[in-house]
Amino acid sequence: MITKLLFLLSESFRGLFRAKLPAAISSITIGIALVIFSLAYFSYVNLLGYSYKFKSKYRIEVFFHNELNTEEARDLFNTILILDGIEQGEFIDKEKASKLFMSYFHEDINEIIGENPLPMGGRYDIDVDYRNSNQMRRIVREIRLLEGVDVASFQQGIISRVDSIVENILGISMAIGIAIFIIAVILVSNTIRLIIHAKQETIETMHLLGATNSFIRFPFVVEGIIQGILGAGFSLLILYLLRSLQSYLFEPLIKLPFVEPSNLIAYNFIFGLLLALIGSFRGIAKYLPK
Amino acid sequence: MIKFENVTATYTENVGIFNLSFHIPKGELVFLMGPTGAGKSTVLKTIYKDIPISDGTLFINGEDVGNIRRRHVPRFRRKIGMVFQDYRLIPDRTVFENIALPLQIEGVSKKEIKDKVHDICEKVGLKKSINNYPNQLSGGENQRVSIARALVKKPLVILADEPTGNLDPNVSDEILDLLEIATDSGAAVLMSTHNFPLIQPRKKRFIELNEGRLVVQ
Repeated sequence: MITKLLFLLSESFRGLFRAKLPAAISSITIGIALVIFSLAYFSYVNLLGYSYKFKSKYRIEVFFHNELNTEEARDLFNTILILDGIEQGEFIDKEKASKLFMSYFHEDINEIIGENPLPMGGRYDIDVDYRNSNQMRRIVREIRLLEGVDVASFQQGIISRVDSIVENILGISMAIGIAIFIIAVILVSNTIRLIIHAKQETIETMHLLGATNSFIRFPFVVEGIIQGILGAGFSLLILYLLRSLQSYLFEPLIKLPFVEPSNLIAYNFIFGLLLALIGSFRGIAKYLPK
Repeated sequence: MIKFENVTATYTENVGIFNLSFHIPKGELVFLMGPTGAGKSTVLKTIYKDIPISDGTLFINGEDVGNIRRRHVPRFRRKIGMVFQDYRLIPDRTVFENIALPLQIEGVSKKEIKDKVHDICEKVGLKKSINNYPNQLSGGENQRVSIARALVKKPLVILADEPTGNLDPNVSDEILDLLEIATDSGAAVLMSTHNFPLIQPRKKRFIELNEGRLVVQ
């Protein structure tokens, strides 16, 4: 068994060396597909990071009815604080409300109308996972149902807009990703099919000598795995060069929240192997049906 | 060793072999004669289970070929040595590697492969060409490699499909000598040919076919 395995492994490497050009084309195809995947993933993660950062500035603002005294208002503030999706909050009493009025309009409300008519209320930050217009709308609806709440609102228009931009970009990235995946699989399987086609007579002879389909298939699958690994290596090299170029040209101007390199390396190898294996099996299937 | 009992195997309705019965015991070389299209190759293909039997029974080493399941065909073929007119050598492998292939398929150890391949190369006179590639050899030498590849696993049955078809008379004689030597170890050898003058001096049994039917045995 070990002898057979060693023989098949050596056959895989020999096969790769015998068909250097098709193997190189196949690896480069996988590599280019992975570069595009990685850039799409990178853009998506960065965009998501920016959108969260952007949305973290937005809060839900709640105004209580003026009839509530401070104690009742505090109770209501605390009730809202424990609602699902609320991260933290700031209680606004009448005094703080007048200070805010002052900071916005540079005038003292007490001097204008002789008393402070501003209601008490609260400003609430939202948990990261709830920073989208649907969730924030749901939270606002729940707050509005509470007794003593006069007004509850958030910057719905802007957040909805940001959400739809992120969703559109994600949709487009996914569509591009799927298209590239399919193209790469077809290219890899056709390359392997060409290699196998050139070895058709050899395969037939091996069948006549008593080789099983698995015995014949194994070296092609290993060749595919090696091509996947080489493709991932090629992709990582290109990404490293692009990263260096980006640092050199734009680092002082733009600070991007980069994707963890370890994740990118892992994803490249996983997707590279996946592409190569699907391509290999598709390529082999025509000549070695199960 | 090889026993045909009323075997019929057809490609289409009227092409194939029909109601064929013969027996080749251990250690005998038998020639399969007949013109082109007589069904010689079909007989061989039926033996190595490339064509299914539609009627009758075929036994190889006591095993009913008709009962062998598709997934067991590779294991069954490993018991048979095959020699082809076009040699069917793998062009990008050396003589050693070509001869070693059936042993590698069986999973024989590296040392054993080395010993067996060197041994058989000595017997068939390929010692000097062991590291050459098929395109560096003559037709006769290539056929020797093909025979060595068939003999190296010491099969009980050897099938040779027109092995001298591409060779000149002197070399063809040498190839026949090698096949005859194979019978010494107890193998049953069935060789198809349409070259009667080549086999006539050998005084061996022959089976003659015409249009898929037995004419002379």
